[in-house]
Amino acid sequence: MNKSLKIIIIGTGASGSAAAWNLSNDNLFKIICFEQGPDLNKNLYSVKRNDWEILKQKKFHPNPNIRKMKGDYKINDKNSPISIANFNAVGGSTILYNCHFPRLHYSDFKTKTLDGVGEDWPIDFNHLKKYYEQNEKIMNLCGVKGDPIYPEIENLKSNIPLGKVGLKLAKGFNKLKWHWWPSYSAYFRKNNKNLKFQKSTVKETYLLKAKDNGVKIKKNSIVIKIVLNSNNLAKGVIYYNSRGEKKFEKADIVIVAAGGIGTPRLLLNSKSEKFPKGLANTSNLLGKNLMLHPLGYVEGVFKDYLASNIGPEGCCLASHQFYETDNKRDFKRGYSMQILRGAGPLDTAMGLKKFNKINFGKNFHNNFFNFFGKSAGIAIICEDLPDKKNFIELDESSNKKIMPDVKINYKLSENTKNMMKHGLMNAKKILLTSGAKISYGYGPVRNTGWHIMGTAKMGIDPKKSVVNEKGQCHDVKNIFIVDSSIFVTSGGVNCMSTIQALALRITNNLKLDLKKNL
Amino acid sequence: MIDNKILKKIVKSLIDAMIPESQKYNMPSASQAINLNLFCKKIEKKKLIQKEIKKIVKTYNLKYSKKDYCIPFNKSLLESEIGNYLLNDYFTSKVVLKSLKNKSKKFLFGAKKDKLDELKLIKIVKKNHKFYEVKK
Repeated sequence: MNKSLKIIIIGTGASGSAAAWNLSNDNLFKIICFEQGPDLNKNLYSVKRNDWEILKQKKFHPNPNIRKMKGDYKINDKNSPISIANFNAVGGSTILYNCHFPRLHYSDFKTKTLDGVGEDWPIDFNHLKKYYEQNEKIMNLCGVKGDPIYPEIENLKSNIPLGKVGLKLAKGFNKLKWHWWPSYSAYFRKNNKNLKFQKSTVKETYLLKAKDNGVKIKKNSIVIKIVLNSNNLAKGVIYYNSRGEKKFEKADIVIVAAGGIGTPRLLLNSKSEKFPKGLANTSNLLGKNLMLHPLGYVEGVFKDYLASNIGPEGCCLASHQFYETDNKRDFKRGYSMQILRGAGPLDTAMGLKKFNKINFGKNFHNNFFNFFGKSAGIAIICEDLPDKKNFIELDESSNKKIMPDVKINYKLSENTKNMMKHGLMNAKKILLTSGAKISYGYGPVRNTGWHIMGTAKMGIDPKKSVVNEKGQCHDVKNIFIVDSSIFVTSGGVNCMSTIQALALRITNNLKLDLKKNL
Repeated sequence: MIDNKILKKIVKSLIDAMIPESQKYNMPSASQAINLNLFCKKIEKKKLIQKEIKKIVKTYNLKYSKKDYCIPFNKSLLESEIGNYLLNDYFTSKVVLKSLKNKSKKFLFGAKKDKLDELKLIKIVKKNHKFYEVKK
């Protein structure tokens, strides 16, 4: 078949890979994915490496300013208490994510109507339902059905055990009659003595299938500009290839999937005479409404050794007890709590050193084993409400030859501060009820800006949003955005599942529209 | 330049004082766990360390000694200068990781009894689900 229509996808992370797979399924289009980072060998970032905990300190640190890997760009975060966490490589942030995979709630799509805050989405939960299901199947979601919060989730692979520490906390939750449920986690089971669970990243799922479908991936290729023709339609992209040569690639459709920072960065840098404030930015909302899910953290330590460090990295169970608005509280909307497995040996020792809880010398091992395998952390994921004062902009002072870096301007609202305080208090309560002693607790934690949302908002009104409900830019009809930048509100859970469900929905609609015209 | 053998001897003495062997926890000392040559290479570039070690060499005239020394040292300086390197190397060494793994072996992840406990606990959440109303 003559694939006459050429689609460029910018970014190969959670959303770009889902889009690439979906669009390539019928073998109708020529698809090229651009990825500014490298394609890393899995052995380089495998948790079974002895030095994995050292690699996390620098080479695979979530903060690109510390990591400085090929493909990373600097993010000036002086005006923010939270630093951005991302990963620029084939597979995107799924290379480092913790695989916790919850859906948004029904209420998340209509916070304005229900609670008078934020804004309503132009779509609701039901529009995404079948895409959530499709995505969960592809990403190999493990869990337990019957959750009162998500009664509709059914097709799950058997769950990852809670472990001793999860059981302790679960008992504590039951004592308080608070909701909890085993984590929905995207993992493959392995018959390997050293590695029983392997993260499900998009490299093993969507991208593998997309490549089989003929999708080409241009790694180490930095797209710096989307160029328009005289009809105000995208005609292609300018990029630097892996040899550092400046090139042009023609396209009939451009799909932007560079994440909540990368997407507005590219569009702002694609300004022209017609769009002096940035491409597709007549609403002046590009880069605005930055939401980050401020994260609070409390750690507790149990008296007995629980091997809490055993099991896959990340969350073993989650609670949505304080997710919805309760008018008795001094904040609107809410948060989820994630019970994290204990840290590895090096993380434990480093943490203890930071808080002066370990001394070198004859008591070294006593100090270490007072905590190691006995600790559990609770992460509080606060819903962030959209606020135009929180925004990203190009950092023109960075004076980069290829493309300016990015600056973020972000403050916690009073609503979020109150929510965080409430979350920290309740995390301590649950740990104490479960029999732990509180080790420490604080928030927001700095290097936790993983969930970057809202910077190219979705909406019906072109004056109040960047893209429509189909992910199509109001201003340029053949540019689509499929990543977390189109979120209208943030919800109080990890956004991966919703990002991919949105990418599948948008590309499905696009496919149907294009097929009509073929 | 400090003589390599003397440097190794001093560093060995220092790190074993910082992380001694523990029979109680079945954990090796620092020098039993890490690659001493590589560790010395990492820290010898640090000027403050060089200075401190020279001081020790001078004070104790180690050149002529054949014994292993347990030398009094500037604790805070060394802890801040080499502490992180030492923790990195120690807690990623094969010997230490093996010892920690053996410790957790008896706590089988996903053991049958734990699974049954888990199901019981989940049932309670299902029963109590009315405490949480799903907003549609």
